[in-house]
Amino acid sequence: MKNRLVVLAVLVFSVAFLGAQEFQEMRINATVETRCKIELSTNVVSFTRTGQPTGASIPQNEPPVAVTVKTTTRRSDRIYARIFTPGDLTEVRTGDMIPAESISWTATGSGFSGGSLSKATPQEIGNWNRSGIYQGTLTFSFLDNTSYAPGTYTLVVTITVSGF
Amino acid sequence: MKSIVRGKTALAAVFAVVFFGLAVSGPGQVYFGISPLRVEHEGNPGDNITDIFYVRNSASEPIRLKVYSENWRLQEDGVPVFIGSQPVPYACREWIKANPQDFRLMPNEVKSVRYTIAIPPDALPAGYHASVSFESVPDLSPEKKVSRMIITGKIAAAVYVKVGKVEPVAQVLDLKFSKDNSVSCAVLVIKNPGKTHFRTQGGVEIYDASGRKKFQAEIPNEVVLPESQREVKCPFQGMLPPGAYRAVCRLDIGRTELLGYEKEWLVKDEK
Repeated sequence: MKNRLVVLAVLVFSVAFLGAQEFQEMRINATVETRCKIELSTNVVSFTRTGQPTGASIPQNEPPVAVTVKTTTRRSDRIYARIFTPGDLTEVRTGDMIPAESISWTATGSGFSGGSLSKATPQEIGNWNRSGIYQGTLTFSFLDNTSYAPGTYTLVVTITVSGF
Repeated sequence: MKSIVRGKTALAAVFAVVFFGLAVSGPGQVYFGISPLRVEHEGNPGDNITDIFYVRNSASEPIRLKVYSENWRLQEDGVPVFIGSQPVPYACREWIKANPQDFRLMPNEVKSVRYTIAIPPDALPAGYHASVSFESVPDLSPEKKVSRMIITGKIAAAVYVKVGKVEPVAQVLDLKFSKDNSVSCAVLVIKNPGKTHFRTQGGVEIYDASGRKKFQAEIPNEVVLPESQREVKCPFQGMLPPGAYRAVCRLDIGRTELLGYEKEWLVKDEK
C-alpha cells in the first residue's frame, strides 16, 4: 500500500512537472557568405642560364609552386584562376627585355592546366564550378635563346582567382 | 618539471593549430582569403551604399595587400578579362571607393575593408558591374644575381549594382550539342539585349526519337552582362549514340515566366 502511494506521488509530481515546462520555438538563421582563399607556397621562382643552346628549356630552380584555391560559393558558381603579366622580363640596369611568352608551365591537380604566359591575354591555370578545396602544382620553365642579352631579369606575374 | 613545461607548450601549440587553423607556411608564401566573393546591391541615382569585405591572412608571416576597384568584361565563352580603369559599357569602377587601400596584415589577422558605392545622380536605370580586387604586394628588393619571376596572388570580388527598376531581358539564340574533352554538353547561346545583367538557372532535357527522356542537364549559374551574348555550357552525364534527338531548355533569368527553347540534334557517328 505504502509502495503504491509512493508510485502515485511520483506520477503526480512528474505530470505536474511536465505541465509546468514551457516549450518555446527557437529559430536559428545562419548566413554562410561566399568566400575564397588563395594559397601559394612561394612568391618567387628563379631560372639560371648556363649557356644552353637556343630552344633549351630551363626549369625553375625551386620545387614546384603549390597552389591551393579554397572556395565556398553558391550552387554551380564558376571560379576561375588565371595568370597574367602586363610586361616582359626586364633587366633593370640595361633595359633589355625578354618576351614574357618565353615562360611556360606544366600543372598537376584536378582542374589545373598548363600553358604559356601572354602579355595580351590572361591564361587559365584552373577553373571549377562548385565549392571545394582545389590543390595543384605549377612548374615553370624558361625557353632560352642565345639572342637574349646576359643579365638579371625580373618579371612580376599575378595569379587571380575570381568568381562572377 | 622541464618535461611538464615542454609538454604544456606542445599542447598549447597543438591547441593553437587546431583552434585557429594556423597554416604551416613560411617566408614568401601567399596565404590569404576574402569574404564575400560576390556582392549584389540595389539603389537609386544619388544613393551611397556602404558595405564590408573581410580579409584574413592565414600565413605565419605578415602580408601586405593593396585593394582597388577595377573594370572587367566577359568573353563570349564566359572567361573574365580584367581591364583596370579602361571603360566598358555598364562598368562602375569609378563609383567604388575602398578603405583601407594598402595595409599590412599580421599572421591570422582578420581585417574589414569598407567600400562605398556612390551612384551618380545622373546614372541611368541599368545593371552595372566592377570588382574590388585584393592583391598581395611583393618585396621587390634586389636579391642574389638570378633572373626571377615574382608571383603575386589576387582575389577579385565581383560587384554588381542595379540602379532603379530594370527588368532582365533574354533571347535564346541557339541550343547546340558539343563534346568537350569527352564531356557531352548542351550549349546555350543567350543574348542579353537589355540594360541589366541576369543570372542563368534552369535545365535542359534531351529526348530520343521515340520521345523518351535520355538525359537532363542543369543550366549553371552564370552571369550574362547587359547588351552582350554568352555561350553557357550545360554538361550532362553520359554519351549520345548516333541518332536524332530533341533538346528542350527551360531558362530562368529571374522573371516570373521561364524562357523555353527547343532544338533538333542529329548526332553523327564520329568514325
